[in-house]
Amino acid sequence: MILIALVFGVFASWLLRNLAARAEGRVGPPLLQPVWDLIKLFRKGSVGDVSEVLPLLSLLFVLFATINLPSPNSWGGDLIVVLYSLTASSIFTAIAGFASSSPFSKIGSSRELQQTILAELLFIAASFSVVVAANSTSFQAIAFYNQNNFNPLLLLTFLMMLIACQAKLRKAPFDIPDANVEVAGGPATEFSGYVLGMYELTYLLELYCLPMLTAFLFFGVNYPAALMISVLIIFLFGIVAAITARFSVRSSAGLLFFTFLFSILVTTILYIGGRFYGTFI
Amino acid sequence: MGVKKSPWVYLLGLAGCNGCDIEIAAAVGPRFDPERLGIKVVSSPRHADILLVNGTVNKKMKKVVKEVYNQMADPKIVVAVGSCAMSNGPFRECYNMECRLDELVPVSIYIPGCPPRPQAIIYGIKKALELVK
Repeated sequence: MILIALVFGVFASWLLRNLAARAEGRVGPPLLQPVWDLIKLFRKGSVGDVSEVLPLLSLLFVLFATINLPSPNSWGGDLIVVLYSLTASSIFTAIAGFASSSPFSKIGSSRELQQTILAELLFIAASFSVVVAANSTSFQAIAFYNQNNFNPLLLLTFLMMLIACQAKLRKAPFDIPDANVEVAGGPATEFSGYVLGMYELTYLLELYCLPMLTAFLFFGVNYPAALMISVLIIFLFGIVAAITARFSVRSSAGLLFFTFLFSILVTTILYIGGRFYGTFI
Repeated sequence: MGVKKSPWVYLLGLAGCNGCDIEIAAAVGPRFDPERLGIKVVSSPRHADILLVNGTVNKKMKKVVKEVYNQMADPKIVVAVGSCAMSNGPFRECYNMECRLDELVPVSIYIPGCPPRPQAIIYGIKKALELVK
């Protein structure tokens, strides 16, 4: 399960970097580049006063989310556990940045925290539109609902969910927390060696979790089809990241907040429709 | 062995004339595409394996060079780009030059030129990686 997630994460990372390279007319890194990066980072020592526990906790939470997603032979755990673990992972990354002594990582962390909170609201609101429609938080019931019903309102929240995932993955135009030219390495500025390796590994697993979660929530599909949909979603993220510039902090916050309000509106309509009229539209 | 496949470079521009900076920018840019060799420019010395230095070491920059070098995690390599980083170049007789770069930190590879071509800079980084065991 975790192995599939890692292989997918390496592939997704390669795809994102290569799409950016092709957009600039470059060749791009080889397929195994993320693996080499990780091997190197875990063989290097760590210097400086950084917390080793907080990036590890972040990694463990995202591992927990990976395990609780549906796997080839089971429907996994509950949606709420996955949402909670993914949020906890982002927040521990931000706290790890606050715990180190560089001013760059402090600014990066506060940006990360701000973006996490806004993106998380949107993420949860968009996920819960499906929960309200399917009237259940288990992945199996949601898949069953999606196989038997088609709800146009969920297409709207699917778009909102894509925006939330882009923001949680910190890809352009939402790469505010680790904008190289402004805040050096963002929360990871002070990380080196294996601590940075844990940070990169967390990111690889997030690259698996977020698109897979989207695929399971909005398409009533089995595991291999969800993997295919995730590749398409990553492809879309890569193209969007390659053709857009970075938002300012304020415009990103505004966009995330208004899409959140919109998702809440859709979820409320779904709830009222389901509750009082017995229909979801 | 991982370092050979993914050397991450931190660019340190000291008190030079900016000629080497421009050539380095060309070397790490899309035309020569060092990312296909795994070379990535990072923005924090904590992440870096290679310190790419250009420019002269003047009084104020002496402290900075040592500090940045000490912030890097082992194993670390220093590559000096251009005449200035090798011998303070045309500025060597200025009033504010006290020492050369290799008197402060151990330099593994010198890339000569004023400024060196982008191809020479990428070749220098590859040569530096051959020193890693």
